Amino acid sequence: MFGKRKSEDDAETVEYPMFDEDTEALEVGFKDNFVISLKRIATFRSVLGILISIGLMVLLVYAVRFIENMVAQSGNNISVPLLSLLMLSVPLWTITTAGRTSMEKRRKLNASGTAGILGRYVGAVIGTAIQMAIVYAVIFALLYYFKSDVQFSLVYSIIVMVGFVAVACALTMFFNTMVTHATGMTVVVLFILVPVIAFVLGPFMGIVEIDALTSAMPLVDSISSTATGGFGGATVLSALSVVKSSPAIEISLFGTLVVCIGWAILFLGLTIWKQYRRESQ
Amino acid sequence: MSKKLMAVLAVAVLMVPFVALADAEEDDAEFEGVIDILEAIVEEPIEFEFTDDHNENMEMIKDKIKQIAASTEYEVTDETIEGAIKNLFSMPVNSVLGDDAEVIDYKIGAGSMKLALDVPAFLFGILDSDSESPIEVILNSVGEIGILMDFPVKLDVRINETITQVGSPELDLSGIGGTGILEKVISIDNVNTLEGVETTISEGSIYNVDLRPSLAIYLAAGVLAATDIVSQHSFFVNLDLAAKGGFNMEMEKESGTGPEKISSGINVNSMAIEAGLGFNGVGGEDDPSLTLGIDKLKVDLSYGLGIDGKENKCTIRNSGLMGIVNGASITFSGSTFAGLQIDTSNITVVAGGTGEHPRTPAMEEIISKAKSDTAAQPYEYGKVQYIAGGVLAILGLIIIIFVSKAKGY
Repeated sequence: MFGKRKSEDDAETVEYPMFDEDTEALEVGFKDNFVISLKRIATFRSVLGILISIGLMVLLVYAVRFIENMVAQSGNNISVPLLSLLMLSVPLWTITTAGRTSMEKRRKLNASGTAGILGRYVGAVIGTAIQMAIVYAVIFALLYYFKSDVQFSLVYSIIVMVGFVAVACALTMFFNTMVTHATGMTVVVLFILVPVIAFVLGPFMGIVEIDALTSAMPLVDSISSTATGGFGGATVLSALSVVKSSPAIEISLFGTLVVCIGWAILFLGLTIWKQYRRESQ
Repeated sequence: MSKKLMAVLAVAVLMVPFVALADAEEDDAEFEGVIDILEAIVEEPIEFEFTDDHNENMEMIKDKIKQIAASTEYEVTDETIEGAIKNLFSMPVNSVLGDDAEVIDYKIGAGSMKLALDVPAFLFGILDSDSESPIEVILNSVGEIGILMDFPVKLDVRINETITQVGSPELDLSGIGGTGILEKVISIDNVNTLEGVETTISEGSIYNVDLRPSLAIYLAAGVLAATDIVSQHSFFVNLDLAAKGGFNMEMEKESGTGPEKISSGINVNSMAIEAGLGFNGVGGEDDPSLTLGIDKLKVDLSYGLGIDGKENKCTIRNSGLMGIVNGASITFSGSTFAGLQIDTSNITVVAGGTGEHPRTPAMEEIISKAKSDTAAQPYEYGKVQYIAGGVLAILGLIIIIFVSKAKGY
């Protein structure tokens, strides 16, 4: 399947190195590209994505109840915190939403020029943030409705999410200059590889202190958990605590934004460089 | 059953500062007397502003304790008070040097100490063993205790029997490792530090100790139930614990053989625990179910032990896993499952402070200190974030500018 898609890419490359024939008129300005990205919020794909996220959330609530009942029947009554499941799913939703907003399906990045790519990027970040803010608000409402127990700070979470979205969009666009399945690659890198590397270097091998690592890596959790007074740890890193206990990440909100934006600008630079190279070849 | 359990919980919460007092006056520490003292402190918190003059400070303490005791049938002498204070200061010394270290002299320096209490009246009713009348529990009433210590103490310590290990020789960590769960939820580095360091201090050695408690501790316990305890046998107690500050000790050898300098200290960057304990005796008084709900667990403290400049330090923090498991509640039931559901959201009600008495200024001050949320992150890492973020951003900008100008490379 993968091979087939690859050959499709090759076919496209032969026909036209940069853009598909059916692409709308080539937009190079900041504003036009900004609008292209922002308009993606209203596409069927985006609306469907938000609806699926909300549907999954409701499903999670019932899944949690089902698990609770199952455990209760075995004699012990353990209430599973809903937040744990949300922590697993929200970063994934964030990356896939960023993917939907910053690129087009099965197509490589088709923006051109520094201003154009910047426009595409800024539009994508704002667009993704708007979509995710809706999802967060629904999470907040659902937690309140089903559990009357809201353990994450909405405002803080949204600020952290914006930082996370900035990195996710930049990374997706960077990968999108090379492959058509950039969202998947972003998930692998941002959601799995980075936390695993942090875990191996940090708690597992003890080479670098986890605090120092997390201060420089784009390792953010998109839920600010009030229960731990911090971000509660990135999802995969937190889960790896089962293997070997690693301390909860406590990094300042502003510092997190600075690190995220730093990485985002770097990836953005690389995206522009890659795109110019593609054009010149 | 529930009455007993309530009493145990109440005593556990309220008795902590009186352990030393009871130790000093073993035969005399009658329950009733202690209750009277507690009631007196509820009315008026203990507040000391110490000066450089040790004798003046001691007079201050004695006057205050006698004043409190005057309203009770509890008789206190100067010796009792002195013995109690000595016992209190012995605890940290004993925790490092073991029980064979004895405080022979102490001097309290300039600083302040505050102790504030709020105890719901019905708890006194439960504690009062003479009371025969049924107890009516006032729901959602919260008991609070707060301690603030910030003053230096100079101690002279004599070693009565040769010591071979300093630190916490009795601490056995194999138990913690065995349970597994705690090991995952709490992350400890340099575990060996907790097991102490081997060193020899000969009998008769004398050390000058500088003790510097600078700590605020706040604990609230609230009874929250939609029913009265006696008839339904079900209720839940919510706990809210917060602590911040440090407890540091510097020891210097005056005479004898042993290390020249020993330093030890616990520093609490932040500690916040909110948990609920639900109790349901419906299944039978001897077969209750117990529900533990954790709403918040944030632990960030460091323990250091240094001998002649060689520092051993370990940090104890809640693991990232806590972010996932918080909000969980677990019911341990006996043979009959009673199914009491604890609603962890109620735990935080305690934090709002719904005590019977208006909070005293002393209590307000202790709470604000114990719960002050300064960044646990050491400054160096805060700087790492800005440097890393800045360097990456500049690098990115250079690429953007260079590529835009060069159009292709």
